[in-house]
Amino acid sequence: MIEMTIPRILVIDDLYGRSLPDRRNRERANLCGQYLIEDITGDEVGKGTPQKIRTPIAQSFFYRGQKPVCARVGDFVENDLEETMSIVRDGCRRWTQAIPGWTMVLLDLCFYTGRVTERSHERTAGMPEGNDEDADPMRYFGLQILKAIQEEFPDLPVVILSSMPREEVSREFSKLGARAFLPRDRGNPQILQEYFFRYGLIPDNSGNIIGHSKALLLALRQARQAATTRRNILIRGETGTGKELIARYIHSNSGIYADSPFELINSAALSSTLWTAELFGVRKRAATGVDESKGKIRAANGGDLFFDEIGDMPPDTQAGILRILEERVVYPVGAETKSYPVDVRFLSATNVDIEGRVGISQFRSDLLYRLREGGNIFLPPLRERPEDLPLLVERCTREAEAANPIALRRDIDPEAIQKILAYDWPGNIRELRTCIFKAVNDHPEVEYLVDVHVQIPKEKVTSAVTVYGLRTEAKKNGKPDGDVWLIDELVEKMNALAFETLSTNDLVGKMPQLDAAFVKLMARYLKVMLEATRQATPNKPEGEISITVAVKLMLGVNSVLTSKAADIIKQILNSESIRPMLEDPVLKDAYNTALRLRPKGKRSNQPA
Amino acid sequence: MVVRMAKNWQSRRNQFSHDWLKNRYNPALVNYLRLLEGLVEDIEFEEEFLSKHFPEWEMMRLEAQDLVNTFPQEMSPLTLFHVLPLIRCDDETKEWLGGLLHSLWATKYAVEDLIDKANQAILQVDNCYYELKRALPDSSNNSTEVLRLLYGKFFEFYNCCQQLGNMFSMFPREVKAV
Repeated sequence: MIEMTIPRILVIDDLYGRSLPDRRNRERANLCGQYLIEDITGDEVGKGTPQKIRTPIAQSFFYRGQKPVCARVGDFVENDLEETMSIVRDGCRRWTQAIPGWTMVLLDLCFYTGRVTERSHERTAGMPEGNDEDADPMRYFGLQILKAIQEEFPDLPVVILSSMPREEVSREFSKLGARAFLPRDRGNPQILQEYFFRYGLIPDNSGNIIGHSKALLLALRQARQAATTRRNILIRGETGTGKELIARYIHSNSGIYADSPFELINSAALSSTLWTAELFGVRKRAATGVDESKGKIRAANGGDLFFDEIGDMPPDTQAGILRILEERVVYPVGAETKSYPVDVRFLSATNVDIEGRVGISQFRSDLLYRLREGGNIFLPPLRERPEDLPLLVERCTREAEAANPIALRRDIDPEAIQKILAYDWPGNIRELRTCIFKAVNDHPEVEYLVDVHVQIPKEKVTSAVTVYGLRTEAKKNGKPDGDVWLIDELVEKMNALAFETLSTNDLVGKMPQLDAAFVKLMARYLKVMLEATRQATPNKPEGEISITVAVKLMLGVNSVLTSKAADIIKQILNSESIRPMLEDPVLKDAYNTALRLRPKGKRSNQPA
Repeated sequence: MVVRMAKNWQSRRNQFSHDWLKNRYNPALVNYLRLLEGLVEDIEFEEEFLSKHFPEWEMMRLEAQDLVNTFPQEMSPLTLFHVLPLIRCDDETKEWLGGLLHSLWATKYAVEDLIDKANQAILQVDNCYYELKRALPDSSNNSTEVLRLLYGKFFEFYNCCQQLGNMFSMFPREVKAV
């Protein structure tokens, strides 16, 4: 497992990337010295004493972008897009293999082609004469490479490294997605580090946020870019993905504000009676013996306030927060005429579909707008970054060992890693951490963490469970993908479910989600029954749905009135949380039929 | 011939400003500054910089000066009278029209000012270079520790070279008619 400490970049440049048969590439060495980067290309071995950079800010692989890479007098040099992209791909692929990949690409624009003559070799060893086309800004080979990279790897940042005048190509490289322009002879390490910070795919070298999967690096880049302003940011991700850690990461990467206060508060834990005091503070009242308290917002003045679980914030709390966001002053409880100006950036976090909550009036749209005016940061769940699992397991194991005085240091057996990789971790890092801590605490005096120590549910939980209500359907489709439960099994599992309390916070505010999940399940069940009971007609050979037949079967009765069937369809499909599912043509058809038969407000007279 | 002249001038300008000054000489200067700062170790470069890389200016300054001197001749719209269609003009027309076009071009693009500034930039590089050269210790006493005392002068020289590069970037890339 390689720990990356400095960025790894790819430089595609005919001058710096060329290899010389009998000596070092002096120009490359000078560029490395200029930017304090370590050359890891590996083509200069045995060519004199290598240059050493005392404290490099990056490692760089150099590639010419042409063939032959090592050109002699008489050789014909031509551009090689295919091999160039192959090298780009190799570096990008490394992110999925727990090996450092490209943080960034530095790309030249003008690549000289043609024959290497005595004269051109005398001027610059290994370089060809070049021709007019090479120097035509509209035909720069660098722009072709840029286009190819952007098409295949749009997240990979490319910075133009050129001594050509910027204004000649600015429009072209902007259109093709280059992030910045670095003048070749005027750059310095500070500028390069600034570009790493703004655009690079770099991990958190502080060691707080573990991982270097592309999904995580993109989130970290989003966070750093958002951190440069004082606008409020919304952090989104499932439970246990590390939203508080990202909030702290944003805070620590906020330049001059990194040393300012950082306060945190759990919105769901705010009781409606005490929230004002907790947030706004309380004026000292000697007569009643009430002590003054500053409140969280004033405590965070000049810095950041982290609001966790913002989606569960009570409505009156939302109104109060909105007022602060708009007026930028705080009125402590008991001091309604005395206000305190505050400069606070709100870093909010949520694991719910907060736009959906706005849609059903559980969350204020004007507040949501304010809270995310600096942007959204999306944290990937663990199942989308499995390549980070080994590193996370390593970290959790060491922390568990440190927390247990009798625990020995242990190696992590590959089979334990395989078992961990086979599970989806719906509780994400928090669940993983709990599991590893249990493994270490249950077996403190062993030198290996093995698979039997790791206790996880036998079934692999996927994000979507395929349920087949009809055995014939399952047989017809052959072996289905993912997990398959029959309806009876599903009901049995639901009846057997017990909530294991990890912490109260995990359980607070889950009713809307449970409700939405159940309604969606019912909608899927309905869809299956509608599909299964299609009846072919002369006009529709593929079959027409029949809501009456479907509902009859769902209820398990001999007959049902059409109006009753319509009411049931409306009941299932009328929920806000499954609105998106009405894009499905079958459900849409059923819903429209039900509305036609039973316009809003009328209900069937048939008893249930 | 005219097209060749312009292309030749452009080609020479690219070779001087892009290929030599910005791609090789300036980066070598920066790397040497890093060496003096103690950020880079390169025994080979340290030994050969003063004898091999630094003195390249003495040769290239001639090219720089020649480029500036020949610019008004080789990049003026007067050269258009040597190719179609203006080659068909009679001598009298060529003389007055050519002169007029050249004057308008020189005024519109502030050619005299451009040349003046370019000459100034070359002179500044020259002054810095020879001042530095005079200040350099002889080879028996040119350890890095001693040379570090001249860091400021090297830095100043590097700045002058950058300015020269900027000046050459300001010359037009094609023959411009008014």
